[in-house]
Amino acid sequence: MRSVEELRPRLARYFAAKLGLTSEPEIRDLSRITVGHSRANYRIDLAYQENGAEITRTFAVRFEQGGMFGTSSLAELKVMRGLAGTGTPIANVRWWEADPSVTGQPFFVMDWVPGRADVPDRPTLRKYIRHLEDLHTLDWRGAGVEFELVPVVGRDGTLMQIDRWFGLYRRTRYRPVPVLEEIAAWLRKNAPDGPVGIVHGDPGPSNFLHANGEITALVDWEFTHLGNPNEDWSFLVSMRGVGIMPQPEWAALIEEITGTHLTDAEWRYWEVYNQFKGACANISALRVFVTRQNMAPNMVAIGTALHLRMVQRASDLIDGTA
Amino acid sequence: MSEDTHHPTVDELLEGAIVTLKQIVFPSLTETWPKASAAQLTGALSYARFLLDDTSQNDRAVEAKGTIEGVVAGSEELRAQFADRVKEVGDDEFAILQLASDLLAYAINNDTDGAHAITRGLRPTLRAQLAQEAEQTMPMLMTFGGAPVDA
Repeated sequence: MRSVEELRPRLARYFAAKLGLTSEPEIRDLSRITVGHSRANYRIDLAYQENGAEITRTFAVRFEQGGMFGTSSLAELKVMRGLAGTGTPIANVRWWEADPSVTGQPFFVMDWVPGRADVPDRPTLRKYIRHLEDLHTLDWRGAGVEFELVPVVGRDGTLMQIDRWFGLYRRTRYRPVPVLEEIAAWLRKNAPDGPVGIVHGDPGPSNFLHANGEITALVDWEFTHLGNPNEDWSFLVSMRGVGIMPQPEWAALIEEITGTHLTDAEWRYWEVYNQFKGACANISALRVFVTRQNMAPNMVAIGTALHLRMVQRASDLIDGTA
Repeated sequence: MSEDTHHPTVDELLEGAIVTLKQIVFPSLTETWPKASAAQLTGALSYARFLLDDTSQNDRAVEAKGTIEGVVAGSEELRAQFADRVKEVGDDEFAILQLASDLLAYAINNDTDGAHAITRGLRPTLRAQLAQEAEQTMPMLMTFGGAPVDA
């Protein structure tokens, strides 16, 4: 993890090369965006001369953090570039840098998208739900969006994702977590059939931007995959949307806008799944911390306290005690 | 202060760091990310204080092994499936927890007397251990949102 002052000269050289400048641009601001723990996100304001005129531009830079959550920038930006032009509000990806010698970690650069990440008013929230439904039903083959795992039917997609997250847990754990392994077995045994679509994987407030009542961008695409879109509705309602409105209100709103109806058993299954997904992903943060790739205190909290709470919650849901 | 060594104890140093972070560093910070990091650090240091004298991880493995031995010994079905592994795990914490994991998965995937014995006899112990471990990490959960811990 490099400090802002260490990043500043490296990024100045990088942007000079990418923008074809004869001298390094002035970095007027370089500040970490507080949203997001999986990647280190920065806003960078640049100023430089071009044909005798001063140009100012703002970008977002998204750094990997040592394999946090087992996701890669390359897969993420492939999805983002594939979705460009499909009607999905999404930031334009400029450049991807795989060479860790540039700043220490792979990263990519996006055009800055204006907007706020807080909870919007209800009409704007309705537009977000519409965008999410459009994503779920998008003809992804026709749009040319690339995915590593391509299920044939919905149940396969769910099983693939369970294996993906279980695999991450097994690779990054320091010791077995028996209750988490029980949850994986329960999820495999009870995996439902259903449609296959693009699943954002981490939808909800803080992961979309809005301005003047419009959705300006859906962000944070690192978990995006093909699977059962009910995963997203559950994540929106039971993870990021908690505290905005009760689950029955969320369910009614989603059904009104999209026609999607989940039974109580489906809501329960998908929340167990999402808690499991989060628990598996979070344990990777402990390895990132212990291997000294990022020794910030949020890493150790995510890898222990948050991980354990998610295992507990999923287990309670299976038990019927949640 | 340790009387025999005449230097501060690790616990005293950690407590001092928490108090300093909370009373001096945290209030002086204005940017959101450094402020949240300072708060989270108080949680991590509180957890470090707990870990200084903690033996609960080893205690949990010992308890899990004892429970596994009792559950497996009481079921012919489980003895046939798992007795060799119970012998093999010895005191290896990783192996004990992996065996516990496999037993819980077995109980999910089977509807037999042995599976029910695991659900009744082993599962409550492991869930209680999970709850205990989660409780021990509470200072980090409480500070994750950006408010420092009460030292």
